[in-house]
Amino acid sequence: MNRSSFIRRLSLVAAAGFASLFATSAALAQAAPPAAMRETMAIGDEPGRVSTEEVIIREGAFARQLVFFRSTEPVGTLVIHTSERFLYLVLGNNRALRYGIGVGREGFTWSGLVRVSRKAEWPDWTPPPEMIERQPYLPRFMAGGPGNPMGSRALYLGSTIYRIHGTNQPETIGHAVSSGCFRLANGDVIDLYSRVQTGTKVVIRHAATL
Amino acid sequence: MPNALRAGFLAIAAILGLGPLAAGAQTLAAVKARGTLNCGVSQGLAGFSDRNAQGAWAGFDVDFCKAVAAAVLGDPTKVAYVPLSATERFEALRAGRIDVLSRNSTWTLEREVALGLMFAGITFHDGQGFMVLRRPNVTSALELDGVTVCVQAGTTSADNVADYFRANSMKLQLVTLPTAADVVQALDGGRCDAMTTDQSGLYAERLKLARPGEAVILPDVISKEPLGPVTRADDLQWFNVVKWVNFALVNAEELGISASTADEAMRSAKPDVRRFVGAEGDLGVKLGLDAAFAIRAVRAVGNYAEVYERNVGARSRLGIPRGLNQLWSMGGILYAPPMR
Amino acid sequence: MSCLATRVHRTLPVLSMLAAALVLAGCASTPAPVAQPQRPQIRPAAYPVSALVGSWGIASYREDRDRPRTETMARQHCRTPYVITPGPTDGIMMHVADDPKAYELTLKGGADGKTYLGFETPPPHAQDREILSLTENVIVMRFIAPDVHARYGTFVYVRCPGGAQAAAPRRT
Repeated sequence: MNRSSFIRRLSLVAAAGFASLFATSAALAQAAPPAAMRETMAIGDEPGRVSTEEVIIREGAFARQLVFFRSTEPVGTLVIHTSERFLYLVLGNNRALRYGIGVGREGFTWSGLVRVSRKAEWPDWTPPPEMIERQPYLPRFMAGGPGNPMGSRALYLGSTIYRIHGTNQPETIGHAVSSGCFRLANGDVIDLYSRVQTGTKVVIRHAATL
Repeated sequence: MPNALRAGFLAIAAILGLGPLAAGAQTLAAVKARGTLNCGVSQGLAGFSDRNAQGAWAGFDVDFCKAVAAAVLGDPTKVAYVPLSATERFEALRAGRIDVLSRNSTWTLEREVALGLMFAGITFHDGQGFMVLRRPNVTSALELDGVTVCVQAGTTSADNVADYFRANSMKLQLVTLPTAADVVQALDGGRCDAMTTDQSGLYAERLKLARPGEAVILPDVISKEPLGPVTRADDLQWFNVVKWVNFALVNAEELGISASTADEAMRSAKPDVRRFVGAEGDLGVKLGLDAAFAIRAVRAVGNYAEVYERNVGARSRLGIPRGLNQLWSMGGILYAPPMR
Repeated sequence: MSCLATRVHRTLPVLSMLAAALVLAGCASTPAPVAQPQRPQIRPAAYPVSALVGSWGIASYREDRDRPRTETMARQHCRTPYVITPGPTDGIMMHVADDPKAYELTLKGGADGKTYLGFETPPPHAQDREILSLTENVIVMRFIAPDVHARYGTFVYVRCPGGAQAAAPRRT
C-alpha cells in the first residue's frame, strides 16, 4: 500500500494548497459547513481521477476489520458514525465488521433510521445542480461504469438522496469531503454490497451538536 | 434536576454542613504553589508515553498529564514528566515524588487497599485478546478450537487463555515462549496460528509482522485490564480533581465539544454545555479550581476521542479500534457521570 | 492526488492560451516582416462549426449497451442544457475538460480524416475532442486524452426543443 499512502499524503498537501489558492472560488464560497466538516478535504468534483481498479483498503485503521461493538440493533443492521468515519455492520455477540468511509457534504445533513431501498451495481450518476453550475462542462447524466464518481456499487437509502456508494478516490476514505454521501473504496463497497439486502436497517449518527 | 428541587437540595446540604472536604494532604495547593505538575509516566511505551523524535513526551498517558496541568495550572506545558519502571511506580507516588501516576497501570483491589492508593477512573479498558494469522475464516475466539496459540511464559495471559479454552470446551495447543519478541516471531514463522496478550499489545506486535494487513485481531476480550491514573488515598480533593478531568474529557466527547469546537461551545445555549464550559454554575470552583478548568483541558489535548485517535487510534500507527473504549452510547462501555 | 491533478490539468488550457496569446501578440506588434510566420496547417472540417450552436442536453456513457438510454437521459436533461454560442471570431464558445471557463473552440479536420473540436491548433491536440458522429440533432464526441476519456466517457449531445435560443441554466 505504499502507493496509497503516497497518494493520501499527496492529496492532503494538495488539498491544503488547493484550498488556499481557490479560497474565494464559488466551490468554496458556500455557507459555513457544520462543525463536523471543519477539516473538509476539498476534492475535485470531477469524475474520479485516480485508478478505477477495485481498491480494497488492506492496512491501517480504515481497513475492513472485525471490532468489538455493543449494539441493541439486530444482526445485519448498518450503523454509520460520521464523526469517526466508520460504518459498522452489526454481527451480534458484541461484534461488528467495520469499514472506513469518507463522508461527503450530503452525509452530514440527516441522522436517524432509514432502510436500504435499492441496490445498484455500477450505478449511474446525476451530478447535483450546484455542481453543474460550478462545472458547466459536466455531463448531466453519466451511465455507470469505471470512472463514474459513484463507484462500483450503491445502496440507496429510503426515498432520500442519501446513499452508500463507492469511489474512485480511495484516498478520501477517513475524511470529510466536499461532495457525495457515504463513500467506501470500490473493493470494500463491493464486499459490503454482497452482505447487505434491500430492506436492511441503517442508523446514521453524528457527533452531538452544540 | 428542576431548579426548585435543586435549591432545596442545596439548602439541605448547607444545613448539614457538607462543604468541600478538607484534604488530608494538600496536593492541589502544592501543585499550584510549585507551578508544575509532577506526572509519573512509563519509561517508553509507544502510543501511551514515549519521547518523540524531538525528545518531547507524547502519548495517551502523557496527554492526560497535560489535561490535568491545563485544568489546574492553565498551561499544558507545565508538566515535569517522571519516567518510572513498573516496580518503582507506586512507591514514587506514595513517597510524593509525583502528584499523579499516568502510566498504563491496572486497577486492582490490592493496589488500592494495600498500597494506600486510589485509581481516579479508567482511561483505557484493555484486556486479553487474540491475533490470528493464516485462518481467514476465524471471526471469533470461540472458533479457535484446536488452533495452536503462542503466549509469553510467566504472564497472567498464559493462565487466562487456559481458563478460557477450558470454559468453552475447546482444545488448546499452547506454545509458551520466553519473550514477547519470540511470540510474535513464532506467529509470523508459522509455529502457531494465533497469539495472545492484551489487546493494546496485540496492535503493537502486529506492526512487527512481515504482512500486518493479513493478521486478524479478534474483537473478543477475555480478561479485564482497566488502566487509569492513580493518586494517593489521603487526598480526596486532589483525587476528585484528577477524576473529574478524566470525566470531563469523556463528557466533552459526548457533548460534541472538541478542541476545534471549543469557541463554539462557549456560545452554546445548551445547559449541559454551558455548565461544562463554566458559563453557568460553579462546578470548577467546587473542585478547588475555576469555572473554565474543563474547557481548558479540552483546548489543550482535545476530548477523549481526539486523545484516543491521535495517540493509539485511527490517526496513529497503532490503529487500535475504540472497542470497549467507545462511549457507552456508541458501542463501547466508556461512561462518565454527568457534570452537574 | 485528485486536487493536485486538478490543478495541473486546470493550468494546461491556461498555459496553452497564454502561449497562443503570446504568439498572436508577437504577430500583431511586429511590423510586417518579409516572411509571414507560417500558420499551422488545419484542414477544413467535414461540418460547419455553426452546426454546434444551440442548447443541448448532454450525458455520457462507457459501454455501447448504455448508449440508447444515455441518449434518452440527455434529452431529459434539457432542463439544465449546455448552451453553445457563436464565438467572437469564427468559432464557438465551449469548455474543455476540468476547466469552468469557456473558450473559443473550432472544428478541425485531421490528417487522419477525423473531425476534431478544440483550440485552433493542428489536431490531434491533447485537449481536443473527436467528433464521432454529427447530425442536426445528435452529436457524439469524446475527449482524445485517454485519462480524460476514461473519466468522462463518451458524450452524447441531444438538441433541445427550441434549442437555438440560449437558455440560461437554472437551479432545479
